[in-house]
Amino acid sequence: MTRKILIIDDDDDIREATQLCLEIVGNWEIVTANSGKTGLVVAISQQPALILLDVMMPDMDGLETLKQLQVNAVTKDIPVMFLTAKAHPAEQRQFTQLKVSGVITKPYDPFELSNRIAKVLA
Amino acid sequence: MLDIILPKLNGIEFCKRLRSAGNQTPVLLLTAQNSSDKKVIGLDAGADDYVVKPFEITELLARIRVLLRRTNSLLLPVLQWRELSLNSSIHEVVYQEKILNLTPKEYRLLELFLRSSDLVLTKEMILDRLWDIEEAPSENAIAVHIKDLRRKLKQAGASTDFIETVYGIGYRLKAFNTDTAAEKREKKEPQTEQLLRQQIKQKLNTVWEKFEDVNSDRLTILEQANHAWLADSLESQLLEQAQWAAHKLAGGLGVFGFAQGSRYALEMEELLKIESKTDRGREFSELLAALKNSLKSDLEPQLNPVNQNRPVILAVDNHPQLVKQLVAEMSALDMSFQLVKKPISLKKALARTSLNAIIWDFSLANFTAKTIDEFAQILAESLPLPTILFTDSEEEAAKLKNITSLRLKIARLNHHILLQRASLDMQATKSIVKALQQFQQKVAKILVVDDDPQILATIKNLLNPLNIDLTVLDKSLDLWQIIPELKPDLLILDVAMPDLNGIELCQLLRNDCRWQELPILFLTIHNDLTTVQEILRAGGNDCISKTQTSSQLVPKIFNHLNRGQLLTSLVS
Repeated sequence: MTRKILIIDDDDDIREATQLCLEIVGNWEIVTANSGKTGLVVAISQQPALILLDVMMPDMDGLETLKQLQVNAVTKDIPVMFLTAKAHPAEQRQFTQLKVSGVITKPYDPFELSNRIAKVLA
Repeated sequence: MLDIILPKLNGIEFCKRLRSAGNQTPVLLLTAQNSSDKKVIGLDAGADDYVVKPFEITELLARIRVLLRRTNSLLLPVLQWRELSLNSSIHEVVYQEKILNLTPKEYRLLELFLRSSDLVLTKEMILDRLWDIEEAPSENAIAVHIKDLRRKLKQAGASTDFIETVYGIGYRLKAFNTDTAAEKREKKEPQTEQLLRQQIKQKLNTVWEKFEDVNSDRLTILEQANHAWLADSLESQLLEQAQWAAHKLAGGLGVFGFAQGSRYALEMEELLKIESKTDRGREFSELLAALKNSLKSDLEPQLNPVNQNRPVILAVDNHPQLVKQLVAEMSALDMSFQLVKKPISLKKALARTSLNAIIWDFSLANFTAKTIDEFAQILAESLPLPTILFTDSEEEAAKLKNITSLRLKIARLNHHILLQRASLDMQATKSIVKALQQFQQKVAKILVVDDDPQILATIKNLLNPLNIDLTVLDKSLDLWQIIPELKPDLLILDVAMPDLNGIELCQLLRNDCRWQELPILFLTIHNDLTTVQEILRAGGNDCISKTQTSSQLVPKIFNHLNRGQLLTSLVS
């Protein structure tokens, strides 16, 4: 069965690029949202197997979205991976203290991205 | 060319014996017997064509050319499956260096499996291919032959299910691995991975173009910030926008293949965050200029990583004189080529886009398995390349230790390799060079007929980078107008189409002598046995599952094109 992955990213180009990489390499079914708020709604209605969440977004950023996902009974067990352009060790550490399944730094390699997702889903 | 009425053993009988011994040499019957019955008997005996005397010499020559062309596209001297290789030129089957002693029927049965490695063969199909109607045994006899073949394979060290039973249907060669989907994803074959990467780059290119405005807006914000900074008037609102823009560019550019541009944007983001901004404006300007430059210079090579030029690899084993002669011929003709002896030089040569040919001068006698593995690794990372291999004479080779395993490694380098013993005289080098030249210049013409615009767009995306002259049609009835003018080298048909479906089109084409040899591949969503059998019966050469178009299309096209073209040019 194809597993569903939700990409939450406010950047249309990155969202579309990430979607096509995962579709081509991983053969997953992809659903997307262009903001944290929409992301929450999609996560609740679609129940994806994993969420890729951009950190820096206007209005509700990735950290806030994660918090909301984790307090909702329907979405709290869905593994979340951060997508971020930030590569500083301090920030990475901050992320690891949160309950996330991984942090993916942009730019990413499509194959590595897919492999890391596959490992979390395994 | 065989006459029918001959003393003692007539042509029909001779032909039957030839075929039952596994010999696949094309046979053209040449006879005064003009009745339809005689023709049927002759063709059923295994002949490939039938010409009635008196004949026009030009027609006879044309028919001979057709047979030679067909042979070259159908017969590969060495067939390979896992550790097993079947060399049809010397009728030898080897499993892990052990020679299998097979009866002619077992040999042909195994050959049939190797040639149909992606199919399940029913008993009916096997009967149909290997036995004449008159002498056809019961289906049980096939089970006995399979059992004997399995026993001999097992004796040589193969697993008992090398040929596995598909219950209720038939038999097939057991697939290489049965990994789970996730494991497969991790272990994608280098070649498949490369094709996927190419596909991703293509599609990213389209996305990049679609959102070009967004990125150019981000650059404009950075430019505004730069002006303000230099004028010491960078307000907090613009600063925040610039930080945001730099951040987005750092992430986005990298994803679209502008690695250097992404690094510059990241540095700019850092610079914008620094508290004391005095005297740093110049630095920001330089980074901005560098970023814009990198986008210009990266654009072509990064987004169009096409291999317009696919050199032919000419691998020559232990034949310095042949290499010397080839080099001299190529130099005289101003052909671009490179002579390589070490894996590293092969890597460098493949990176050059201007080469017509690569001559790989090697000696199995001096090679270790490791060196061959290194070559194999490099070749696996490139697009499928046509490769001709000239090996040492059999007697010389037999003196070498481990020769079989080395040869197997060579044969596995890629599936386009053709083994040929170097019995060529030096006169032949001229024609080899000429064939290489023609091959290089030749642009394959491919015609695709499919009523689904999405599939047509996918195929365009996949084939665009490959120097292929592609024509697509969305109406099957238009084929008749286009095909005589276009004269494609390969045709791809959808199975289900309104008006005339692909199978009907194929039948009609095969009834026209002009298109009898044209490789025809089918795109299908139905991969069931009945559809596949229907396709093969209609004269199709291969099927590609629509769900696997991205991974199967290019290798299968190359396979069918390469088999014919290079050999045809060498033969002629």
